[in-house]
Amino acid sequence: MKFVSIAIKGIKETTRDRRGLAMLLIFPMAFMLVFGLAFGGMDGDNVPHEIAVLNYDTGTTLHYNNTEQINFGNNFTQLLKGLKYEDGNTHLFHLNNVSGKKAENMLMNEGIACIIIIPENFSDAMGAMINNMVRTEVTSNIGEMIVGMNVTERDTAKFGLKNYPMDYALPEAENITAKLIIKGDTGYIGFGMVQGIISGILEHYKNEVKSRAKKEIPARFRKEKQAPDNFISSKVEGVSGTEPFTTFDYQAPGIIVFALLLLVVSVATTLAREVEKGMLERLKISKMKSFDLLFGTLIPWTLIAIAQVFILFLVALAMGYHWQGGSASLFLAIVIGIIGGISSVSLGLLVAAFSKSEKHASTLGMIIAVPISFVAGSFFPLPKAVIGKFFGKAFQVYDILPWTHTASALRSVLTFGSGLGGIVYHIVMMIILTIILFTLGVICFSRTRMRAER
Amino acid sequence: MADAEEYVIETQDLTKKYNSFLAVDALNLKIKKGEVFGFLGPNGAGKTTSIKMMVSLLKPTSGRVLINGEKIGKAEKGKIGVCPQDLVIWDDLTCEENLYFMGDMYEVPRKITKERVKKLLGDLKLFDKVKTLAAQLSGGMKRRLNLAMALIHDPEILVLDEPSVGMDPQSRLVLWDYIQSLSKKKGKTVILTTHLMEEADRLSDRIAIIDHGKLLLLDTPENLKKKIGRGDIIEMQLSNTEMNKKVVNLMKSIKGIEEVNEIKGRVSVRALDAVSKLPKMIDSIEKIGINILNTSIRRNTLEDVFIYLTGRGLRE
Repeated sequence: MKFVSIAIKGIKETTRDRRGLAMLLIFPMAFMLVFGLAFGGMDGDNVPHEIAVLNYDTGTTLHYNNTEQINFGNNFTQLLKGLKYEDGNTHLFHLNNVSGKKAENMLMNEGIACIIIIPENFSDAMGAMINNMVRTEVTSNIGEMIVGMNVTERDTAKFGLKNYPMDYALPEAENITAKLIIKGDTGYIGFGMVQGIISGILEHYKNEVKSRAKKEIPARFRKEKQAPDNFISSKVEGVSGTEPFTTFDYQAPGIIVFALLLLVVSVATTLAREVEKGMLERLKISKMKSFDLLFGTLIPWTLIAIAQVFILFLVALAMGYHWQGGSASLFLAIVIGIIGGISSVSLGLLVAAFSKSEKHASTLGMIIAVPISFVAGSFFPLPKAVIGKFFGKAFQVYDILPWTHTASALRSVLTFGSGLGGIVYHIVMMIILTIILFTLGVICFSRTRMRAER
Repeated sequence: MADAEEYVIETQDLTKKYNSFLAVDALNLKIKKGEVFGFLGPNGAGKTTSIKMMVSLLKPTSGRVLINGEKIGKAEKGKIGVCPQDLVIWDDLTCEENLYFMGDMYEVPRKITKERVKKLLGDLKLFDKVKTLAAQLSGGMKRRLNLAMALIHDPEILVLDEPSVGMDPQSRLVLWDYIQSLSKKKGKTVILTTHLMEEADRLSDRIAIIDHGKLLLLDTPENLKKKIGRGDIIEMQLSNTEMNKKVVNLMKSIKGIEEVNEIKGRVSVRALDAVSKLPKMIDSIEKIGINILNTSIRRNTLEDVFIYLTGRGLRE
């Protein structure tokens, strides 16, 4: 397993070369600190997110002694309309009152961040959810059989159920499901921000509805309490994602991408040094194969990429970064970092293949890596430059770079709290582009450096 | 003629061309098993290019290299060990880590590598530096580690490209003893390139002198000195060095003089039975009114042979 020996050698050399390690870890950390200080404390641009709500909900009737008509779709829409940022008077969303077609057009032009489509059976599903909850709650105390028998007061005394003079039949448990759709472009930063917030609000709303219904159970099933007229009402509470969003929250994942791109310089200079000092010649006459060298090189740099993601994430948190995900998001971020790291190693191979010396590789690596970090949207959002459609998504000119997807995916999971489902497109694109880049790197490096000179 | 098995390396019309520049011109060499083969030539003569082709780091334009009668590409990797002129060691690894790493690259089992590391570091007087980072070694120690790394896989053939550059006399002696023991005790074939004529003379069983990519001469050091530098060398320092040229021409006119040159401000005359010719030489110089400050007679050396064959023009 020669590649393992090469990897171990690489790890030893990297950890013992303090200057190189500082360049890889401390330099981006300093960047994170500076950006955190400069932009972390600023009030973000707390402007309402432009969205459209298409409410097709037909409403439902809640069956109790007083029949209550309710439209949960309207209720949820009003809730969204009324939500404000946690520290201010600015509304969180501006709801555009437009048709479905117009909303689609606005979405394509990034005029709105997303479309929320409330299905026609939304209220039925919410009602079913309440009914199921009520049944569970009531029967867990007195048993479904007894309640269903419409027992008299005498009977309840007989069963020791003095406090449950039930004059209601239990609601029917229906199996109705509805899917609220949050539609948008996963490659668009605006969508990345709102989809996490709206998902959080919906969860919160469902819990609130259940909680309120639960509170009404004693009143409904005991005569001494008067049932309220309106079963569902809304209350605005801050949910995850409504804190002031700062520029630093956008930049922090970008700085991680910048650090990953610095691997290009390190990998290129390390390999160019091995070529320049004749180390590669020494290895070429041994039994080492190209595979051993390239995979042995990949392993230590991938470990560095993991360390970079983790350390920079901690520094970002210390600088006030608003992390929206849980531990799973950190795991996803590390996976994204590994793929991004491999992309950088691949580009490093390409740079080393065409560098005449270590110094040349360092300069060339910098010339390539630094502009890429800007073009990949690490530090600021990029202007629209759509060149076509790919997998039904607008494909921008920057999307040919794997690091654009690395930045978007890191933002999605760390800043907006998306799960794996929200970044599948970026992960797939990163893998495809990294495979292409790695193959190119391996071919060029093997041809120019691993074969006998001509 | 010797059997093919006797030669471990054979080059057949080995040629390397870079555009119009002919770096190696149809080189034909046969290197015997177990010999120390000196490979001499001025800078840019084509030594390194030839060696790179011999170890398959460079593709020849034409011709071929045979290792034990097999074409170089097909020969099993690991038969050759190369100790390059430049220090090719990993500075951030310790001495033993460098050696273990190279052992792994040659697929030497760890147990065997462990024994060899101990032996090599002991033989090359580096045993107390086992755990020392290569970066912290002295120049001579680095050179010895460089050599140890070429030997960790116990190669049949060892190529040493100017191995003693930058070494102090003590380190050089350790190295020379070790090279001799490799050849004489262990039967290794050693190809040695050097600019130190003393080193080549002392260590080599046979010496090839090349220039402009062409093999000029190949023989034992003694035979080379006999063939090219017949006789002894008389060196004279004149009172007026401006007259050196005139004296050189005068000496050329004396019968029995093999070669006359001006070297470092002195007139150097090579002649058979030089002692008997010395009075006549002094007499003819004094007759034209030139005083001789001092005179010395010495035996012909390999350096004289080398200079005779390759000339005095500076290279590179």
